[in-house]
Amino acid sequence: MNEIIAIAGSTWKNVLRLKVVYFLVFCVWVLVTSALNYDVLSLGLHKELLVDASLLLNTIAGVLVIISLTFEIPKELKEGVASTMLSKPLGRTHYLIGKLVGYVVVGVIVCSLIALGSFFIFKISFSEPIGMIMLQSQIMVILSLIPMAALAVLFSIALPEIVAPIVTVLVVWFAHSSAALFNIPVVYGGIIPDLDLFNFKADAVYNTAITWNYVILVALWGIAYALFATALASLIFSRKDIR
Amino acid sequence: MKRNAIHVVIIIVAVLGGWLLAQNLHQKQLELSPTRATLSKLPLGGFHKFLSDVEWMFFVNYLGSLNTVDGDNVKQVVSRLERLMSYDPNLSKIYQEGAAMISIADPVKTVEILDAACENPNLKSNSQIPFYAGFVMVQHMTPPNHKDAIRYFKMAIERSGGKDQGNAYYTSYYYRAKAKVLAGEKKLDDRHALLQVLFNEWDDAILNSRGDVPTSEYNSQDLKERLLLAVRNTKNPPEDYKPTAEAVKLADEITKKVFSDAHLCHSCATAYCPGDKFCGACGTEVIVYGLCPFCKEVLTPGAKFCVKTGQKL
Amino acid sequence: MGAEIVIQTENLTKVYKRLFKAGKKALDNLTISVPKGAVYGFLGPNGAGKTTTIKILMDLIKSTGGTAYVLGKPSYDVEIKERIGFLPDSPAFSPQLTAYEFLNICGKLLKIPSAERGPRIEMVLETVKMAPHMREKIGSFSRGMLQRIGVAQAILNQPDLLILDEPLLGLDPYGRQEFKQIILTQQARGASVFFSSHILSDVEEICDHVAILNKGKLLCAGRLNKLLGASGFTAIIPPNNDEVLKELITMAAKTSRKEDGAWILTFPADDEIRGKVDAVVSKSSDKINVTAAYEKLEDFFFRTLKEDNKQ
Repeated sequence: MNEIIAIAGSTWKNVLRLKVVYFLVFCVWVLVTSALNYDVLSLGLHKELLVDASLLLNTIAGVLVIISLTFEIPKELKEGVASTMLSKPLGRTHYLIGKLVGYVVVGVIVCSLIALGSFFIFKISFSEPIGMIMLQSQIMVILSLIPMAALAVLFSIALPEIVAPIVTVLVVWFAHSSAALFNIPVVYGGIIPDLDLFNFKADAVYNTAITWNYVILVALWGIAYALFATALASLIFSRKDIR
Repeated sequence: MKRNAIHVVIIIVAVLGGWLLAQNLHQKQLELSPTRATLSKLPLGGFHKFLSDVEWMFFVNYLGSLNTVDGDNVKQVVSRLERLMSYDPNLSKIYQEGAAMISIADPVKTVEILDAACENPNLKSNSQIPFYAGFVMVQHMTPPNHKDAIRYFKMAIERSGGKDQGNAYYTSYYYRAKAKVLAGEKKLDDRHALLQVLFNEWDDAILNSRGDVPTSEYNSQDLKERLLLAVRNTKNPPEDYKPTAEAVKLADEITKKVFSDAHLCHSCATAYCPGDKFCGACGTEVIVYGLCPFCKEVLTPGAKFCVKTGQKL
Repeated sequence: MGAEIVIQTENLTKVYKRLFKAGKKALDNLTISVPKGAVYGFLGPNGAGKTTTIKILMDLIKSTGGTAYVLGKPSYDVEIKERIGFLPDSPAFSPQLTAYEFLNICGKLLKIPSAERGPRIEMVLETVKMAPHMREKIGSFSRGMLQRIGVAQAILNQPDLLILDEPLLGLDPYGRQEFKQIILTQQARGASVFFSSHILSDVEEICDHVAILNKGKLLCAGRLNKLLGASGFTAIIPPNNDEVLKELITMAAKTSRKEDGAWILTFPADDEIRGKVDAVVSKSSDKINVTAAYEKLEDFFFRTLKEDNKQ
């Protein structure tokens, strides 16, 4: 466990010191605020637009953080950072989990900053309280980072460096629409992820209630899927040569 | 080898566990937001809501570019509306503002769209959508369709809960639609049919508590006012209207049953004041009320003592 | 497996698979033993298989065949790495971390108790002359500084075995001198050192054992002085001792004359010739020194490679 925390710690320290991370958060805040300009064009739907934009942009920011993981792992393997770490008493699985946890922490911090900023903008603009569903749907966006990061780890280990980020983006995109596979046993939600389970953007806009029970269950699904993807990645990584 | 076996076991357990959880969550998600099943099946990356926002702004912009919605462009407008619905069926503006734009060019499609919205559980508190559906039917479709309009108006009244002012508007249309249907069925004139409908409503809703319109203080008062107006229009008709004998008979019956304590002139149904001997509106002699039983002085309403002698009443 | 052996490989083979091409054999039945306490130089031209061997020993690369044991345990044993220090050929570390933070993470991975970690990090940074830069980000370091940080992380756990891949690369002459000193200090502490290098003069200076690899095959391995001495022996004949000179010069492979008139005769490594030379020398009234002819490592290296390439 200490090894995982050590790798995760080095990962999030390394990433969170990049100025580009905060520039990304700032850009999202600006874009969320810009939704206020659309009150006339949307015939008064700017409040809904702001809530939706904050969730959408938070999802995109989360995906960007996760995509950077698909660059980070091959880079560490290529440049020898991973060799140095793996020459210590550190299992390859631990290394992967450490990277996964590190990037999930980065994602949680980035997405939380965006969510808090969006709540502040909403509160200032409309003087309305933040609804529970708004909070829950932002939490769902953050929770979706767990399976997405595991997917990124899997693809960055299993695929060539150039292909991994593209495949990750495509899979994350289609995973939000995989409910069509509902009737296929084992495949739906087992092998192929269903990230739409985390998608409550429209519900946040319309203030539809969701239960905390659902939030907990969906977090469990995220962990189960991450377990599958990480175990598969680890199996592949254990046979891989680190040059 | 042993390590690989552990990996394989974890993979199998995680896949099966994930699948079972996902099945459960999928059902739960549909329970929480049932309209998800109607969303576009295109792989939109879960950005349906955002696309609906963008598409809505494009739609508004597009409508702004049109002089009128007619046969030439109604298909375009309908296809945009349908696309919007597939992105976000819960966006009420699609129905309240979007569908209204095609009500003249294609009333059937309008009602079809509005009907789908009426069935949407997320919009079940929206009273305007069923009202619009009924309104479009009454305004732009032939009388055989008016029976359905009654259903939509009734839905609008139920959804508004009989508490807001909009409710009066809905009930007005509801009674009119009912009257039109009744007029067609029994070959009555519109005003007679309306009088009959209002009386039936009064009878069912207020006297027997089994009417369609939810009973409330506001409704009963509103209905009474409507009835009074209809009775007056029958007893003291405008120049362009000649009520039938049956209509006048019905008006008399209503006056007796509904307004027995209202001191209305039996000839024109205008209310008269305490002490009046003749109707101020038509000059007919009326039954005097509101006099002191001892000195015949006119009393103020609710007086407990005679204003002239101070005698306890 | 003897207790005195820290690295033992047997028939270690590695074939790199290539798409649409035949596999490339990087290692071919490599068998070496590194004795405890040795400073073992692992030599070979580019592509000889040195880095592949080192990475197999560190379990970074999986062998295709054969076995590799490190400190008595299979090379894939994770726990054994607590006792190993490793410096990769081109060290790279997380650029946003400071030198101290990076070593702190290494210390955590090496399970060094937290109370002991700080002083230990400061000590190794002093050793590699990087203490003034401990709060600077690694991303701002030069190649030489990175090499020093690499050495620092390798010796942080006071390892029983140091495995270093091209450790002298990127260091200036001072750095090389300091580094050689560090290796000798580690050896004095009781650690064994196994390292690959291209800088043969340095290897010759600090190694007591070497192995030479070419095209994945081991050409020779053993104690350095034995390997270099095996090229023959020399006899220095004082001036005016023509009688001895006459008898020996016919057997000599190479002759040369010193300024004072003494002859230096170099004989091939042949037991029969050695016997004859010893007999002649013992009969002589003058003192004649017969010593092993130590070849320079560089000459030995190139000669060995040349002979191998001829075959």
